[in-house]
Amino acid sequence: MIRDLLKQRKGLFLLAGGIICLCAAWLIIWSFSGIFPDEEPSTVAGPMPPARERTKEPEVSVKSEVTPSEEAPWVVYITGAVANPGVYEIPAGSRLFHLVEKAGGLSQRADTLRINLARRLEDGVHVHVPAIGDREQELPQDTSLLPNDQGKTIPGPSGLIQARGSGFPSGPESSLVDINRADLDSLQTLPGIGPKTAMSIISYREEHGYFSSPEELIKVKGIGDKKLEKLKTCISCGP
Amino acid sequence: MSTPLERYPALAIFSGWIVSLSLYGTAISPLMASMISLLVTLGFTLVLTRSTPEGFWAVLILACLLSFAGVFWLHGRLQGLSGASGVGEADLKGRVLSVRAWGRYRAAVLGSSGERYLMFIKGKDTFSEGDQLSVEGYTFPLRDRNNDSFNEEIYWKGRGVYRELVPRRITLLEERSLMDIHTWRTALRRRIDLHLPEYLRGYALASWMGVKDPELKTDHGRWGTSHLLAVSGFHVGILAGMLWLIFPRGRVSTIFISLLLWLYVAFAGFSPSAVRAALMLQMILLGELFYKPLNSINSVSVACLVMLVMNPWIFWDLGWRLSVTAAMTIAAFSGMRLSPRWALILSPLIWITTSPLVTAAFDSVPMAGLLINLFAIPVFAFLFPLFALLSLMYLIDFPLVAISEIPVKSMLVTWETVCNTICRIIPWHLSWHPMLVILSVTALTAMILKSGGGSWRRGLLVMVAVNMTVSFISFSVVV
Repeated sequence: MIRDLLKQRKGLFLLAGGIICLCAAWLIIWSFSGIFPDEEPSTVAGPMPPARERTKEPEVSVKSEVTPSEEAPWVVYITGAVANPGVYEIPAGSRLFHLVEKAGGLSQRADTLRINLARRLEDGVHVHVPAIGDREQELPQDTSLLPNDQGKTIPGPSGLIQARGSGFPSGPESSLVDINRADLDSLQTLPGIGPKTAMSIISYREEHGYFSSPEELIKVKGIGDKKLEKLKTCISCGP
Repeated sequence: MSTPLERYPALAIFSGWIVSLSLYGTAISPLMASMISLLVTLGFTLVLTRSTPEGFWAVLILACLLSFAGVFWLHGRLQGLSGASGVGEADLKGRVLSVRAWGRYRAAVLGSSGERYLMFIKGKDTFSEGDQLSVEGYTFPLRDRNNDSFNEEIYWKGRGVYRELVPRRITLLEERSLMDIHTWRTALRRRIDLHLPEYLRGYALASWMGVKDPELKTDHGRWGTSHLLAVSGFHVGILAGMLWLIFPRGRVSTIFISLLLWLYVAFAGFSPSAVRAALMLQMILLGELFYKPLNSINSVSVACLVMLVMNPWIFWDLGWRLSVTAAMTIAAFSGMRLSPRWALILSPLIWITTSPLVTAAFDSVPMAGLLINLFAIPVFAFLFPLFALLSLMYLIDFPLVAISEIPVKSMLVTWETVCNTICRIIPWHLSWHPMLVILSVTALTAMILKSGGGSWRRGLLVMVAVNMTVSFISFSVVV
């Protein structure tokens, strides 16, 4: 009987089969495309970091402002133009703006042009937020409370935040300029790099994302083979 | 009544591949993409089938398997063809495969040991296609440097280039092979540049070598006839038509015509549209050879499947998409078997079906093109062979060439005057709109369904399904 029915209504069954297949295809597309229009995102993404490289691999997760980490919390010290200077415990992987928020925010005297709120922090670091009119020599000289202090002010990789102590690399590595983090001033400390080329490096970084190796500097306008060879000994390429 | 699977089995597979490849880059895994392809192939075939002749299920299973396995393989190939990541030092010898203007630079493709590298060179680095170079430098994965709709990375990947080479030192080697098509292309280009008058040079470069003259490109862009400057089915068709007229029908002449056809495509730089057209014509020629006429929609689909297998990145190439859409429109139109007087609406139909792609890429399309294209195809079907003849006369320094060119020049001036007048009368431009996508998809699907016959109710259902799928993927999934 079923056979007879199948024979009589073959066209209809084929049509129904076809519609089911198409609906199944749509269902898969809908379910697996990674788009969930009715749901609010569970976390708020921070500002998008420059991509290292455009990739076709799909982003399946939304990163929160503070990357969850299994590491123990960091202890950091903040002084200068913030509401409540002091020692704070912050989650590992935090950035400067997290610490500033914890310290009650920037004071009105804070020189916002000389700080990079987006820079990464490290455990045990001392961050000094400069006030408008501060000079480098006016920074606190008493370093006895700072762990493993080298007794001199080390410009942080951002170059704008005055940081002291073991939080920033010391020794031979500390003299290297991280081309993925350095700002205009830091870049100009490199041999053969003037304001124009430094600007080109930053523009390139903003446009294309982090440099994957020091050699990639060759793609920046104004840097040739010879200049790159000179620079290689003075630069690092941080993650 | 024949089933769609009997008429155009390759289209069933191609439709599955189109949907699945459109989803590449989303969170859909290769396995799921393959499943979607299978379901789309199966779904469209079953919806359009009312009875199952003998062997139907075997062919359907084969088509579904090809649809599934093909997409799975294409996904793997897309990842495999993305090139190695990271920066590397390069010290290699290679041949310059192509050189073209690229903004303030020239973009050269260097072929070395099976790999292709993209180099951006300045004016002072004077080397041309076919030159052997020794290059030291750094290589990087390709990436898109533009923020506009043109994706540089995909453009080059569609041409088999996956890494960029930043040269530190380039040495030109004194080795040129006469067996290399690139050497011959350079030689021909030099002769064209030196011997042809300005009004012929642009058209000769475009139709023989796939090189676009900037001024000519601007003019044809304004008239909405840019497709005349890209080597496509139109040019390959004119050549094949002329060869068919010259040589008698037969197996030997078919093989000879095939060889000449591919030689022309090689001289034209193997552009995606030229390769697609040549593959299609080759299938028609093979059909002639074995006395088995092929369905034109099926031929277009097979050509597309072959090209995707060769390089799946071509799926995102604008030239390829335009070429496929136009060819599918022509194939479906010819399958409708209308009386010859209807041929006049073919150009506007192509204009409609390709308009979403053109407007998305170039922001707008001139409305004047709708009218100009009515007569552009017949005019240039006559002018191109004439240009070719005249160009050959110039290249061999034929004595009476100066007299012969007078009527051709007059025709060209008339064409330009008419086009400019139409552009003044119809100065409007059409910008991209979602309705253009729906109009284009509906027109193309309706023509394909009409050419295949069958129930109009089921056809309507398929049209709705195709529109929904295209709209859903275009506007929701692939952002």
